[in-house]
Amino acid sequence: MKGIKILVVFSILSLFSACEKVLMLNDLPGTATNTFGYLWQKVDEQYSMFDVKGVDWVAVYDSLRPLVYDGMDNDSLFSVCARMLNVLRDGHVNLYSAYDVSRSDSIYYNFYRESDFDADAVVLNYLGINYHQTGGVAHNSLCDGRVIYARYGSFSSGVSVGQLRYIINAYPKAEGMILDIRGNGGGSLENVVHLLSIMPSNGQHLYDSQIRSGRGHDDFGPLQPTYAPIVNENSMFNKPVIVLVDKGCYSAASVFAICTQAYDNITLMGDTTSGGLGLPLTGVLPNGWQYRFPVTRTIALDGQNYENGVPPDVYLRLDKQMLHDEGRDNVIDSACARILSR
Amino acid sequence: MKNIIITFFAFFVLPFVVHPQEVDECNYWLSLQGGGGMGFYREMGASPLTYRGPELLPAISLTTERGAWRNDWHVGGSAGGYGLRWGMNSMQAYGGQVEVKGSVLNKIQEMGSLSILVGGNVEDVFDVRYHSGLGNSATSFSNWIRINGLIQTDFQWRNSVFYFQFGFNPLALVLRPGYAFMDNFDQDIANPIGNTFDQYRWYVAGFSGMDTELGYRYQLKNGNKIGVSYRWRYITSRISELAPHRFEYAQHGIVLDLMFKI
Repeated sequence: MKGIKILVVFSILSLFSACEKVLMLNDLPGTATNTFGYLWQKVDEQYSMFDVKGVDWVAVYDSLRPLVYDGMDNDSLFSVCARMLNVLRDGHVNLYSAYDVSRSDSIYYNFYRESDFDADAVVLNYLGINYHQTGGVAHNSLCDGRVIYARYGSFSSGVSVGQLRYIINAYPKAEGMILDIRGNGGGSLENVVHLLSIMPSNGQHLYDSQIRSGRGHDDFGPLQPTYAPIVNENSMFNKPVIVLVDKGCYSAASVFAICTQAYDNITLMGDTTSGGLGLPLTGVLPNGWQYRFPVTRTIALDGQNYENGVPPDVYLRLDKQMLHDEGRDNVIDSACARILSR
Repeated sequence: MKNIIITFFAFFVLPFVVHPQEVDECNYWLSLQGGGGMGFYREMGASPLTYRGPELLPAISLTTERGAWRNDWHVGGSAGGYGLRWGMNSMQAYGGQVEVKGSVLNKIQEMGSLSILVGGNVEDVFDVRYHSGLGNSATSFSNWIRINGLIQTDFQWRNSVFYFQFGFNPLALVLRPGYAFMDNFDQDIANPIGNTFDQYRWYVAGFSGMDTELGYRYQLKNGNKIGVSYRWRYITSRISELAPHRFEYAQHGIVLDLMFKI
């Protein structure tokens, strides 16, 4: 009888212990004030670009917090949270709800208004209607086959190392290559590595990354180096390469741009990119919305953080008057001339 | 490496070292287990909200009984799909755990049909979570190396045994991301480009969880046993200065157990 009592006691204990609510933290209620406060705090603790953005994050809180109250409608809350994030002027910062996505106005202004790439002119006067498409790269030859023109519009479009080798082998007379990534808003860094995998390499240092590692805005972990992919000597494209960039280049395109510093045969030509060199982290807010913002920073070989834009080796803007009058893209023409003059 | 050494110790050394050289007959059972349950977890690096969803609970174990001693070598785990809200049409997360453990129990008291056993186990729990909508921060790994205390009561009635086991963990060695979370999977290209997010840290955590099991087993005439049990588990990473994103997990499960005498 005593044994049965003990068993009953243990069984009751079991039922009590099954109530994990006693042990687990409670969900943070998805109120407007909680959601706003949580988002502000996450950015404060993890965002990696405060130094280059020059933002007083506490002042942002002080100015916007009075606009938030529990019971406010979702549209208004979304608007206030988006205003808060927009202060960062960062294309990797977004707020996602089921019915809207916030984005940085200034970065998107650059994408659309300051880009130096005119797709119609390039297709009609350079690539040609009969251009070839290998993976994500459209290509053809210019100047009687002496220059490869390769257009890569998005790092989200896959291109393999094999496909890139096919392209460089398809133009045996070529004396150099123009790689046009103007207007390329980024995508997968895997494709950055693929592009670099046809360039001359001995595993050289490309850049360093640092992750935000503490509550202080300047707290970062150790520099983590990134090295060039090792390339078989027979597969290298040793001839001059000119990479065309503009304000429409962001994220992975800017990462590719800073990698070019490590290659003697690559010249960066065009306009300063829009930056976007931090890797974004995504999370969920108490009300179920999602956010993302960068938590790392990238340090180029020259020790600079080009988050606000990677400057070209040769600064040259598109002459829109010439484009309008003659259909000519002076940036491509200059790149061709530069290759042929070597 | 520590995992390997401790697991080896638990499996191949501990049971024989602590095992008294008794003359009683040694019985062996190979046990196949399967069941289902509900899992709840909160991954603070990704969300302040609880994910919940159905889980499958497979396991295999080898049990020995000799005199007052019971040893159990167990490989099992759980796999499930989870959502942030009940009744969602699509899962927002997937995850699972693999647990490997070696347990020792000693019958310290027998009062008629009631027995009380105490012991412990060494356990390694590996956990992976994938949140399908969270981009670079989608995946996280966690690992616990735990030395647990166990107490069990058995109530024998004819060919049946009702039992209740309670396990508690006073101390664990925990591996968690120092930051949420895994590296940018896009960059995993044979160079260190993708090592940005992987600042995993080992640290010691007190009270990393508890386990309970309330079960019934029936012994057939041929010596095999069949059983069913209700299990509840709670495991937490706690936090450390370098791994500040707490992980908590609770599981309710019903498991069927087929024990073959070998």
